[in-house]
Amino acid sequence: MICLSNGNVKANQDYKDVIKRKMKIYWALMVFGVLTAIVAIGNALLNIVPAVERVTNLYSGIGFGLIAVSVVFIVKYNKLLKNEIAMKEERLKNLDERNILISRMAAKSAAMVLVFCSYIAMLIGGLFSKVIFYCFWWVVMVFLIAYVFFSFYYRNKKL
Amino acid sequence: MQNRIQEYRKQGKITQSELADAVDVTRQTIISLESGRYNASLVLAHKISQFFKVSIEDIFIFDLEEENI
Repeated sequence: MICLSNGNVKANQDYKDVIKRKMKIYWALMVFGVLTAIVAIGNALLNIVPAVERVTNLYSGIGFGLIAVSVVFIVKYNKLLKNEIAMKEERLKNLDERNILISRMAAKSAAMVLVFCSYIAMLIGGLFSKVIFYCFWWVVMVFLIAYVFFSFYYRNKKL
Repeated sequence: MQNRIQEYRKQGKITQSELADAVDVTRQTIISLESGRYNASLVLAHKISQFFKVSIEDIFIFDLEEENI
């Protein structure tokens, strides 16, 4: 789910703006998906950059996956914009403070699992390949740097 | 933190859905509040107390021992 600040949304009218913003994000995501698929298919047809076949398939899969997800959400949001009752339900679900807390706690736990797994993969992968070691090393480092940055950022922000 | 939401709600013959709609949360949150599995934020506590037209202290029972203070 794309994280977009819901701000001080108190009514359906305000939430319509949030939905419109989310739709723009999904349109952008669809463009990325189309570009990814075009690059993958183009490369497979024209063989511009010699690549492993499976990787090309994977790229086109990611591209079509992004397109499919975007279409699903754009259709869903279009329906919501036309149905006030469904929009209210969606607004309550997304703005419910308990749901927000659950999302934050789940994200925190998932981040810890990601870092732990990356660290283990870095240690084990490093025994076989320097590239794998640095890939996972960067995952851990980016997480730690981002954590420190956002800690300072939110300290000076009105919460 | 214990609360008397269910007691006030039943007194007023209000359903969980009606209360949830009035204070802008889901019914699941009201269920969690009533069963003591979730503590309301300050804003939600205010909204609930205003809905029942009582003070926050009347609804939410702050126990010093329970909170380890």
